[in-house]
Amino acid sequence: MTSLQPADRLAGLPRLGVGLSYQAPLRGFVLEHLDSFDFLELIPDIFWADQGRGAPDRYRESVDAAPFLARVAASKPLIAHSVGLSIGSGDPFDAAHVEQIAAWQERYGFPWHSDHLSFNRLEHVTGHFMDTGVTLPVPFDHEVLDLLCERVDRVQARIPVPFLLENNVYYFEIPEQDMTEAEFLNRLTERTGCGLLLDLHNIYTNARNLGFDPWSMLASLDLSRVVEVHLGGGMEVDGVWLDAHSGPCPEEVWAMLEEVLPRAPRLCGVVFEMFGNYYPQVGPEPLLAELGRARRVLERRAA
Amino acid sequence: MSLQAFQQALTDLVMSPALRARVAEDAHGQLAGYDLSEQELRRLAALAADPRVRTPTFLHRAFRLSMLANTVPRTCKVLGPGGIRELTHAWWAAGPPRTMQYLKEAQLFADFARGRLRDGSFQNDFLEEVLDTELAMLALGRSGLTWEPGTRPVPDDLAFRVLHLHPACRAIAWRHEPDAVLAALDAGRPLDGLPSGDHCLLLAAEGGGRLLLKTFRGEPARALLAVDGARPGGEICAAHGVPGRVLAELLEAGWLGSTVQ
Ligand SMILES: [Fe+2]
Repeated sequence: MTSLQPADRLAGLPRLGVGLSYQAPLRGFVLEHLDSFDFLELIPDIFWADQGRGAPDRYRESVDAAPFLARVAASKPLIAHSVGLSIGSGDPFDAAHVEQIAAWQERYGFPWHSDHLSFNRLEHVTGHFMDTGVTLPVPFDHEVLDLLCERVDRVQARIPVPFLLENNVYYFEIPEQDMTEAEFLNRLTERTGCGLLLDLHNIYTNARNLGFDPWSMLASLDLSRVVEVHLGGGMEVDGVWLDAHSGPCPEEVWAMLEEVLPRAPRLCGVVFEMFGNYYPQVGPEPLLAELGRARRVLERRAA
Repeated sequence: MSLQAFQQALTDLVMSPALRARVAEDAHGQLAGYDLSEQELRRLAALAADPRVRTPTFLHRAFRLSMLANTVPRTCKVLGPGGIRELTHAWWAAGPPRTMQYLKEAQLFADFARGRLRDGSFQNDFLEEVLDTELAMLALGRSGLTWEPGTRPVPDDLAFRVLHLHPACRAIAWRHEPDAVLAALDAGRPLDGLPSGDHCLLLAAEGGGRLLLKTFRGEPARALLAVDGARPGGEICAAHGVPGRVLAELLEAGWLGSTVQ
């Protein structure tokens, strides 16, 4: 059970500013351009090899992770954005993963941490570790909401800093759902007191591909729970807009950020996401440009 | 009826366009093996016919392909677009990804590819040697072990001592000149016409992620590939036609070690 009033959980968080989402090919950029961002968001799961549930010594941490992270952590706050919990999975809750995140939270002092509102792992049914590599949607149903609320409570009971869930990108809609996505997210954050990691490019992608109005979705979302925003770019392939994190943010996403800011009093960080494999082709300039633009938007709001 | 069963069926639909086509025709029959409610069945039947599910299929395959492209890039070059398509589609049809670890996925793919080469259902003269080399490079790079150059004393009773490769070394059998093949791959040149011949490519981890590559032919190549950590020097000499002096040189250089039986 939650021990605090839901609204209290997000109080007093540090306003970190502009964050960069870390990917291995960005290691050089991170060390050379430390001034271009205020904090580094990392996917902790890329720094260890998960041997699967029940395996002895389950999380084998890569040997070069600690020196690099310690170096960045000396000058910038770190935030964890995990892909390993698979919180929407029908599998039993993965308490060992939460323990691993708790250990890293203690080590690196993440002011908050997050994961994806989706499922990508199914181990119980298949009897062996399986990860689709794609965050698949869960039905926005009452039953799933109950399951998620209970799991969010367990994460929050174990890790002493706020937990955020990120709205998913999905390319198809599950028919006959009990709620809209906005209703589902509103109830989830209200019932558990968790925060929302609002990925605006995910909303843009979903709206563009599935033909709904992103502005009316934003209008019906309770943005008071937003602690972090994700920005990113994509590309069109065969008529489908992909959340590829392949380059600059579309103008409409910047406009969505402007819409969100005055309605998100608890917002503490805006993170730009770019898939590392594009970095060798595009170089540092687009990253610097997007981080700089995000900073100017935040500064204008603060003024 | 459970969320697990629904998610398993949904995942199977995402991973398999062939299953989607069958479910679109006969949802009840095709999904009978999953413990689903009527509503879950309706949902899955609708999704099986929904062309938008093709995108997560594409993304899932791109993810699996990226696991190979990031771990065994030269193997991908050896295969070329046509070979990759043929082999990965057969590999994916054989089962879902069982690991998030890129190295393990590459090893499982390597086992699959070797099986196809062995049973003759796939042919590529360069695949096995390049794949084995890349996997050995990855394993050595992560081992944390180090080989150091220098001369070592050679024991007098080599014939009776069990020989093993230095733990920071791997010996890979090649049927072509390794340097020529690796240089052609890195330069994007075709491999056709490169000379064949038995070689051994020795990899040694030098620490700090650096690897030393050294090519051997003839007797030393046969000796390096024969050493198995079980047989004494005398037996290896007799079985593989290698003079004792060759073993002694490999020991002196530090590629091999020995233990008393
Ligand atoms: Fe995101």
